[in-house]
Amino acid sequence: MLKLAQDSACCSTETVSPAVLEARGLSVSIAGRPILKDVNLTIQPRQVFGIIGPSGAGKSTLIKCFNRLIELTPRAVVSGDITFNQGSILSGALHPDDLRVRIGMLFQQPVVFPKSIYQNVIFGVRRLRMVSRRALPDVAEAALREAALWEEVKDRLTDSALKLSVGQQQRLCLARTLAMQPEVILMDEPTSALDPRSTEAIEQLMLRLKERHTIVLVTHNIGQARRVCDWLACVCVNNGVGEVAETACCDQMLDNPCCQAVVDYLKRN
Amino acid sequence: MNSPAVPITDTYSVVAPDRRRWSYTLVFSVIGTAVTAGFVVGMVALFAWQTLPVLSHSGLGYVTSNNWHYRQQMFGALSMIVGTLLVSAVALCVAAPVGIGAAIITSEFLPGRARLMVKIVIELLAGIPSVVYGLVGILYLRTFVYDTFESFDLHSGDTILTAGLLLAVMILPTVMTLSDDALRAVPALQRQAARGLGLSRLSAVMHVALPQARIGVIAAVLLALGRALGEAIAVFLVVGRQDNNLPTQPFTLRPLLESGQTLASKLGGAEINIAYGDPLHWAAVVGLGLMLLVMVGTVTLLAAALTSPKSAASPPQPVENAPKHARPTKTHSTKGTSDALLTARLAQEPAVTRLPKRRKWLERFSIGSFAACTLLATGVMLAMILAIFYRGSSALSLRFFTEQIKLVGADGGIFFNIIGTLLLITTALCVCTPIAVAVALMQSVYLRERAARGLGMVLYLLNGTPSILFGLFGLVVFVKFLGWGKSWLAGGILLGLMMIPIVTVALVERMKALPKKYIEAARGLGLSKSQTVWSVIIPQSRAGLVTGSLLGLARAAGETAPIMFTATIFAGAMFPRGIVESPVLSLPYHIFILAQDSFDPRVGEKLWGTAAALLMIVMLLSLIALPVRLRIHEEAVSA
Repeated sequence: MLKLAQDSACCSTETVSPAVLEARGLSVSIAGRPILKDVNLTIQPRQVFGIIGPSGAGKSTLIKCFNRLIELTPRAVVSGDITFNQGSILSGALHPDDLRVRIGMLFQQPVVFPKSIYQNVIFGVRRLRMVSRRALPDVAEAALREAALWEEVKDRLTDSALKLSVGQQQRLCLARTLAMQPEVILMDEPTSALDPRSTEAIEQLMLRLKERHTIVLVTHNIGQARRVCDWLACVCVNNGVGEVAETACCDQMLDNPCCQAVVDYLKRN
Repeated sequence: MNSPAVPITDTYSVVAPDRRRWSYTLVFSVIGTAVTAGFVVGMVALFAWQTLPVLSHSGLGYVTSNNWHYRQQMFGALSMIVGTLLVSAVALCVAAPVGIGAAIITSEFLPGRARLMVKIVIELLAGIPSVVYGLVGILYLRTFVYDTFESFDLHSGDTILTAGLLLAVMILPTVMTLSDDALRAVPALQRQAARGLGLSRLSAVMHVALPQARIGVIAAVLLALGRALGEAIAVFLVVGRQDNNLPTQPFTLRPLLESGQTLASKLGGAEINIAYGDPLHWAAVVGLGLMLLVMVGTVTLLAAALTSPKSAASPPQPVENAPKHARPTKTHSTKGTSDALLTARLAQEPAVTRLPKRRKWLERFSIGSFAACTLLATGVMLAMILAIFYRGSSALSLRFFTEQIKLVGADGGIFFNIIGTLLLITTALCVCTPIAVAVALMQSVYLRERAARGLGMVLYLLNGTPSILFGLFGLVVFVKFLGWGKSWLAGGILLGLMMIPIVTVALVERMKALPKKYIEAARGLGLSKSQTVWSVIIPQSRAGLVTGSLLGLARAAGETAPIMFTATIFAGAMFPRGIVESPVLSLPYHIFILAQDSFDPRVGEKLWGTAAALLMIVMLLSLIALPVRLRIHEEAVSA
């Protein structure tokens, strides 16, 4: 499958830099029930890598594997391997907590802590003592600017974060992740709970953020995939288990899918 | 076969149902609620009224002076107030950290099944009758304290410290289960978000879950304090009961190592029976009850106010203030500088800072000590049960269960004690069930927001009311005012009243979990509210009623304080033949009396045998109910 993707016409001219994230033969089962089977993916740096596919195919499970958050799910078993900058993340050389600092995550629903806006942004940085206490306000400002939220909240940093709109809360969560300086940001349908305007803001952000970060985006919205993604993988259900049906660069996948399952999925959307 | 199809309208006629303006269900619910609220208000009023004579006699000196000599008509209760506070403080200092630590383990670290096991063990610990705690205190803890503090030259092992430690074990389940509930109520997503940022499991608990659960945890500690303040029987047996012993050396361990008296232990003593002859003395005694009620009521209502849905919906989260330089005004006014700043930071800061080794060890140490708390809590429980059955096993035989007492407890069996206890709890069940159903309906069907919260407060208060005060109330109303003397019916009614909050809360939690669609479906068929109640709500809430009743019965079976003045005697009663002057024997009172005089080894054997028998009844009732009850409760908490 991987081979097929790299051979595909539209992308053969691109120079292939070393992958940031790579899944090899990844399988996941939860409580004995297989969820994902034999997933192979290569994610290049500084691009938006989209994962599309029908509901329940295991997209969220897949994305949670990259920062090992899947291990918080009771009775989840992961086999195969994932490499991050050529090093295996499952081997134990890198502690999962350290891995999650370098691979940040944004959830479907914005999860803000019931604290002030400021405290939310610096939540992780402060707890992990990553920067000196004095630098915290600067870190907060930089992160909020990067998440395009600074202008809206600069005068009320001490207000409760729960007062923000859902769209603002999601950008606050993004700022909180950005403050940790992650290399990769995993986004699990980050706009599914948002109104169109906030969605647009987040999409703009993704395009800007990929200058410095790699983004892995799970999305239901084909339009969104077309607008922001550079490369796509489609996860489809085959015999009750999720599999990567096809990976290709964005236009190739959406306009000329080779795999029948992907064709069916796109037709339905 | 060839008979024509009968038009459906011919088979029966539809008559519009007769719609009444009011329903019997509502009346039933109102009556039950009125009885409950009336009892709470009536008890406060009765105690206040009966206390008046001593206030006019001693004035403020009643609470500020330290001289309780009833023969000289001197009533100053200061030493008892201080004793109560000291004992409770000791208990809280031990139980709060251990209970919260154990709750962190059960709610955050244990997988589902292990969690349920630990919770069942803790609930069983909560269900052990206080007289059994007292017995274990007398025979083990007293010696332990005496030996450990030998260098302090103690007069005896009956000290404030002994009582405090015993109480700590007794209130541990309260701290633990309620803190566990509070932690479980914090959404899992919050922890996941923290973990997604790279926080360790423990940091996510300490920095996200625990801060958000803190109001619930504070309420847990307050409710435990309420229980500690009001415990009479167990404290009575190990506190030494020395009047007018005010600590003279504050800020040392010494006051803790002396005998003392608490408000509740005073009320558990024989002086109560003497006091009724003298109005002033009686007023002084009831005044102790009133003080106790005020103290416990304040603490309980505070906890209820903290956790009421209103404050839970918009939690009084004092937003942490950003440091003063959080909004630098001049340097970052343009976007350019900020980007420059960001780039500068990118250059300076390594992307990942590993946690120092020291912190890893600190984490392991913390988790280890929390786990030790859990082991301690469950270990104490198992050790107690093992000790009781081990020492009581030699007395347990068929004869023991079928004969009556001989030789003041040194020989014979406990047949009539078992009969008496069963009679008392059956009566209690009959009293409690209709009232609890009525109150639960009122709470979850008829009342809305504020009124429902008010009724919730009443239930909280009733649940927190020390059991010795039920006894005092019963003594005034049933024994003296109604002239029943000691009567099984009075004991049954008092125990029934005591069970109301347990059963009601179980029912309400079940009713809350009932899917709205069932009620809508029933109403959609045209059933009235009360028809819906009897056809949908109550049948679907059966599990709550049954499990709540079983747990209530388990508690009622082990209670001594409400029945000791009102319903039960030590020897010489068989089947009651009426209501007036017809006491019964009972298991807890039997233990209570024998425990104070357990020097005869033959009595000792029977004593442990009785404790084992009581424990069997209580634990059987609890074990049947707990798995289902806990599941209902967890659903209600996480919803």
